[in-house]
Parts: sequence; structure tokens; C-alpha cells
Amino acid sequence: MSSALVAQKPVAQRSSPAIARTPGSMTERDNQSSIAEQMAAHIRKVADHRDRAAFAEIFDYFGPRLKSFVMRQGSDPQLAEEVVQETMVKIWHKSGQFDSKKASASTWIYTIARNMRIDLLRKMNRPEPDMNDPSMTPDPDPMAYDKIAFDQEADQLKKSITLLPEDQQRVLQLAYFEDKTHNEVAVELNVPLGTVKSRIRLALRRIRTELGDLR
Amino acid sequence: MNVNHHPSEALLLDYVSGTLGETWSLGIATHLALCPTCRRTVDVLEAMGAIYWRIFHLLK
Repeated sequence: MSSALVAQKPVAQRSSPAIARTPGSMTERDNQSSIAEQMAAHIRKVADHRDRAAFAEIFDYFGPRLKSFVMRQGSDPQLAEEVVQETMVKIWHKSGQFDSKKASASTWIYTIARNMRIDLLRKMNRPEPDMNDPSMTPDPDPMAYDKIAFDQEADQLKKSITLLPEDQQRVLQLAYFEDKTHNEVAVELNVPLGTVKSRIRLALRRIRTELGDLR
Repeated sequence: MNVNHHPSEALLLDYVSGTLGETWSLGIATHLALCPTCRRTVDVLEAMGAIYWRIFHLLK
């Protein structure tokens, strides 16, 4: 499963102020720098070997710190949690672009988190259908339209997704994990736009069929 | 009210993943209000996104 999630792409990195913590003493400073080195080493292990243990170390160390970092910027705990998770996904995928000569591990990670927070806030403003619209068209069969039942089908859905052909999965991963539009996916995979569209259509058709949703 | 033209699944995926621009997203949202079929597709796409999340967390 993990290999299917591996994705690399170049991305521009900007530097940013990292953790504001002044070392109080020489020993603390030494301690800080050795943690920085350890974390840099962990990122490289993730990049080179998809090392899950190293990734867990990064998660354990930066998870709580990132959460409070995001909350200090005025986000509620739920959003902060989401930023942390999304940031961790990015770290997993983009570890190959980490360059310890350009930025420390924490600078790199906090930059990702800061950009992620901006992205998420932008996404939360996505326009939603207006259920009070006078022309709102109700579902023909409200009983069939049941999100709870849909949740119960999650296992089936997961199975269906993992059984999709690799090329279709790849498109979905790029869209969900790397925030690419279908146009960008076409560029990334170097295939015509129509191919990307048909892969999405085929994946959806197959999944809906397997869910028994034949409408 | 019936609608005969539907946005492509690719466009709906961009809407769900939040990569579609504001103007297009507004257009999609307006269409969704009129179209149970596409609302259902969006539900499936959102559920798929959630599954991809869970798959990711299995990596931990």
C-alpha cells in the first residue's frame, strides 16, 4: 500500500522564521542542535528508504509543536489538527526535496505548515450549494441518499479504491494528496487532458458500480 | 427543474479537492443545488478523499 502513495514532485521552498525559542544555556543549545540534526536525518531516511519508524519520530516530535504553532496563529484546535495531518502528508511526500544546506528541518516543516494553513483556510471558503435556493432540486429518493449508510460502506469503498488500476489511482492521489487540478495532473503525468478525465470517469464508474450505486 | 448539462467528473474532483478557483466553484455549487446526480457524485468523491486519508494513516 505504501508504495502506491509515494509521489515526488519539485516544489519551490521559501524560508521562514522557525520556532522562536531562545536557548537558555550552552547545553540546551547543544541539545537543540542535536535534535535538529536528528530530525534532518529522519527526513532523509523517509526520503531515501520510506522509513516509517523515522517518520513516526518526526510525527511525535513535530506533531504537538505544530499544533500549538497553528493555534497561536488564531486557529481552533480542529483546524490545527487538520493542518498538522496535512503537513505530515506533505512531509512524507516531499521529503526528497528537503535540503539541510538550505534550511533546517524545523524551518522546512514550519514553512509547509504555514502554507498548509493558508491553503486550508482558502478551501474552507469553498462555495457550497445553497439548500434554501428556491430552485433547489431535492433528491428523487431521499432514502437512497444516506450519508450514514455511505459511511458503513467505507470498507467496501476502501477495497474498491485499492483495486483500481494503477493509472487511475495515480490521478486520484495527485488530486487528493498533492492538491493538483486535473489540468496539473495531466502535465505531471505527461498525458493528454482527455486521458486524465477518462481515468477519473472510469474510476468513479467502477467504484459506484461496486458500491451497488447504479444510478 | 431538470438540468441536461453536467460538469465533468474531473471538474467535480477539483471542486472537492479545493483546487478549483472561486468562480468555477460557485458555478459548480449552483449546479449542485439543481442536480441530485452530481451531488451524489460529489459525495462519492468526498468519501474517496476520506478513504485516502485513512490509507495514509495506516502508514503511521
